Amino acid sequence: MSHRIFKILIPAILLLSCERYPDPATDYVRLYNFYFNNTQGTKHFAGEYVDDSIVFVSVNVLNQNSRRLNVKFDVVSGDGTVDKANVWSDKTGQASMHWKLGNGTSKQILRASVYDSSGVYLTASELTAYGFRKGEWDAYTGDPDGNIMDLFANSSAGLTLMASSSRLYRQADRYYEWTELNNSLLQSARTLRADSNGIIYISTWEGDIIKSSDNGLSWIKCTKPFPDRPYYIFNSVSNDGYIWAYYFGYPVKISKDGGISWYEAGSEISESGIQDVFRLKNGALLFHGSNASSLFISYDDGLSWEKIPVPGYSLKLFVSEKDEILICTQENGMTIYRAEKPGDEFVKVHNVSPEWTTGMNNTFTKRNGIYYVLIPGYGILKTSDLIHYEDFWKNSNLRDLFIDHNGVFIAKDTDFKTVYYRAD
Amino acid sequence: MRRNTVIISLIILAGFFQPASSQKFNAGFYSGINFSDIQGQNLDGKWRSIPGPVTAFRFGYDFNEKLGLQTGIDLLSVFYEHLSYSRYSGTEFYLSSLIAPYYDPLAKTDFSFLRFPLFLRYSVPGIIKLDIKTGLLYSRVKDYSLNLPSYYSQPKPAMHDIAYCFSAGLSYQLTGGFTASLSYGYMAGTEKILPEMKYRHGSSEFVFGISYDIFNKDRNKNVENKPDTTDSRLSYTLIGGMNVSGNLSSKFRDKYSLNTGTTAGFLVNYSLSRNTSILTGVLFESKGYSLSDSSTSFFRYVQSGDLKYNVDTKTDIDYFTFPVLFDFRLGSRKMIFIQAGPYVSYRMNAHCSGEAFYTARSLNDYRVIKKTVSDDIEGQIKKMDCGFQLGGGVSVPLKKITSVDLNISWRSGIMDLVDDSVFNNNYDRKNSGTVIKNGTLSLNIGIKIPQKG
Repeated sequence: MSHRIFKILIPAILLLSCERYPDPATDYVRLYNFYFNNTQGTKHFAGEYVDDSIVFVSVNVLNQNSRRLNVKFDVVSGDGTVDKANVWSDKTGQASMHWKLGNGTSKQILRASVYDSSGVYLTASELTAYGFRKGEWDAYTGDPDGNIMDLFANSSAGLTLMASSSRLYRQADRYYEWTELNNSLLQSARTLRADSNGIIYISTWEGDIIKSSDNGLSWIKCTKPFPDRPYYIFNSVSNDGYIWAYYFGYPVKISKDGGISWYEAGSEISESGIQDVFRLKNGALLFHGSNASSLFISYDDGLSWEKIPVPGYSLKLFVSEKDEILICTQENGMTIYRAEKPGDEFVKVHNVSPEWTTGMNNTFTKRNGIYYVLIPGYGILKTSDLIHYEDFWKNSNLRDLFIDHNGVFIAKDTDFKTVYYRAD
Repeated sequence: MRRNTVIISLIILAGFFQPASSQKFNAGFYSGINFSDIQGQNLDGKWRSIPGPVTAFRFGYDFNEKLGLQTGIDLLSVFYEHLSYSRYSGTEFYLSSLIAPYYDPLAKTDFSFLRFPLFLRYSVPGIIKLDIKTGLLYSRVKDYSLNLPSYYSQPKPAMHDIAYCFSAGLSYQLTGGFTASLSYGYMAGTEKILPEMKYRHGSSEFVFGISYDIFNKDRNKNVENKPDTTDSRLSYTLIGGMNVSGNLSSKFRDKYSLNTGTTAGFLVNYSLSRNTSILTGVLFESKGYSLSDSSTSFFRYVQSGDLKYNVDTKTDIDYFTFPVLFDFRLGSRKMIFIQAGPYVSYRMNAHCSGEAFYTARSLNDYRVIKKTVSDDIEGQIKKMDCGFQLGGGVSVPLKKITSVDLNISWRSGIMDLVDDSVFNNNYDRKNSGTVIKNGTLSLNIGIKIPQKG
C-alpha cells in the first residue's frame, strides 16, 4: 500500500511544480498612426483653399493590407467649408478632399474623425491653418513673426524688414509671409533701426553694428563702438542719422558719419542707459535714457547735457515733425504729457490704466496722418493731433506696435510667440 | 543576535542528546528539489518558480514516538527570475529604445546556501506516519550572482538569514531500521536580500529521504512485529478536493465572480467521546475570485485615475489553513457527521492572472493594448485570514480498518483581504469599506489512515 501512495505522490509533486500562470506581456492588438500630409499652420487669405488638396493618411501598423477606414471631415472653427465630408481611405490609406477657409476666425481647424469598417470610432486628428482677413486683428502663433523683435518699413522702397529670433527677414508679397535674408553678417541680428534717409542699422549679439544703404541688398560692418566688448550693446539712431551706442560701464558713444568713427558723449548721460534721441529744429539734441525720468538736452552735439525736469516717472520720449515733445510717465497708470515746443511746460493730455507696465519700445507709429500709440498692458490709442486720444484696440497682452510699408498693423504679444496682423 | 540564538539553540539541542538512550537517535540523507518563492512581491509581473537542488544530512532525536527534534546541515541552491511587463512581445513600444535600461539586481539571480535547521517534529502514528515539523533555519550564503552588468556598482546581499519553516510529510518504516519519507516544506526568510529592496528569501521544497535508526538493536526485526504504542484515540485523515470560492463583500458584488481551486492536507482527529471528536490540521488551499469589468486595478474593482482597463482576471490566493473543528457523529453506525468550528489561514502566495485591454487614442494614433496579466500580489493581500467553517458529510467504512469521508463544507472569512498599504491613507481605507472577503465551498474526500497492528 505504501509503495502505491508514493507512486501517486511523486507524479503529483511534478504536476505541482509546473508553472501555474502565464508570463506577463504587453502587446498591441490594434495600432494605427494618423497624420495629414499637409503642413500644419500654413497661412492663407480667408476664402482661399488650403493647398491643392487635403490628404489624410491612416497607417495600420500591424496589418498593412487592412481594410479601408472611413474618415469624416468637419470644420471645427473658422466657418470654412469642405467639398467632401465623408471619405473612405484608398488602398494606400489616403483620404483626400478640399478645404476652403472661412471668415470666422484667423486660426481655423479642420477635424478628421476616423472610424473602422465596423463603425467603431478610432480617433480624431486636426489640421490647423490661418486665414487672414480684412479689417480684423488676426492672431498668428508661430515662427518667425510670432517672435518679432523690431521692424523697419520703407513705403517708397516697398520694403519691410523684420528682426526675429536673431535673424533678419524680408516681408514677401503677402504681408504675413517672411523670407530670411541670407547674409553671413546677419546671423545674430538683435535690433533693427533706420534713419530718416532709409539707411538701416542692425546691432548684433556680438556688439557689432551692420549697415545697409541700399534697402538691404548689401550689408557692411561698421566700426565697432566698443571694440573690447564681444557681447551685445544698446543702440539707437536719431532722426538726424546719428548712431548712438551704450553699454553699462561704458560711456555713451555717438557716430555722426554712419558708423565709421565714434566719439564719446558727455558723461552726464553715461549712467542713464539709452532709449530715444531726437534732433530738434533748433539744433539741440533731446535724449531720454532707459532709466525713468532721464530727459536731457544738449546744445553742443552731445558733448555736454542738461537735465530737464519731468512730471512723474517718464519712460518714453517722442518728438513729432512739428517739434512737439511728448513723454509717457508712470503717473496714475500711464499719463501722456505734451510740450508744444522745446522749453514749454509739459501739459497732461491723456491718461490710461494699463494692467501692467514695462519698458516701452516702439510706442508712437504714424500711418496716413494718424498717430497710433501702444501702451503696454493697455492697448493701442489713436490720435491725429497728439492732444486728443481715443482707444483703437484695447488688448492688455500687447507689447509693441509696428506698421509695414503697406500700412498693415503688426502688433506683438507679450508672450513673445504671438503676433497680430490687421490689414484694412 | 540571531546567530547567537541559533548557536544557543544548538547547545540546548546537544543537551537533549547526552542523557538520551542511544536507540532514540536516527540519521538520514535527504534529497529533493526546491521551488523558489521569493517573499515581498507586489505587482508588476511575476517571479518564476524555478526548481533547484536541495540536499540534506539530518540527525534526529526522538523523545517518544510522537515528539522529536531534528537538526543537520543542508545544501541548497535557489534560483530567482522576475518577469515584468517591460518584456514586450510583438511590436515594440516606440520609446523603449530611448529609455535607459534599468537593471533589477534580483531579476535573474541565484543563491546557494549552507543551512542549519532546528525542527520540532510531531508525528501522528499510523501505517504511514504523518510527520509535522516546524522550526527555524539558519542560512549562510555560499555563493551568489546578481543581475547587474560588470560596470555597475555591485551591492552586497545579506550573507546570513534566519527563516521560518513549516513542513509536513509522510514516512514509512522499512525493515532493517530504515525509514523512507517524503515531505513538503515551506520557508520564508526574515532578512532583506538587499538592504534597499523589500525582497526576502523563500522557497517550497519537496524532499525524499532515507533515515536510519542508529544503535537500534531491534532494527533487523520486521516492523509488523513491533508492539503498537499508538494512542487509539488519535488518528489522521488525508484530505483532497476541489473548491469554489468568491468574494463575499457586498461592495461591487456584481463585478466579481467565482474561482475554482484545490484543497489538500490532513486533519488530525482526537476522539473526545464515542460520537464527538476534535479535529485540527493543515490544509493547503488555493482559492480566490474573478474580476470582470472596467477597472484601474487588475485584482480589485477600482474606478480612480484615467487609465482604465477592461479587466478579465482571476486572483488565486494560496493559504495554509488551520481549522479547529468539532465533529459530531450521527446515527447508529456513525456514518453521518457534522463539523463546525473556526479557522485561521496564513497566506502563502497571491497571484492575479488573466487579460486586460486598454484603448488609447491621441490626435495621431489609436492603440488597443493587451496585457497578459500575471502579477504576484502578495503585497496587496493580508497575510492572515480567519473565519468559521460549517460542513458535513458521510463516512464510508473500508475493509474495517479505515474509512473514506465525503465532505462538503462552507468556509466564510470575516476579514477584508486587501492590505491597508494599498490605500493612500486611513481615510481611503475607511471609506473603501470591506473590499474582498473570502467565501469558499469545498467538496473533499478524506482517507483515514489506519493504525498499525
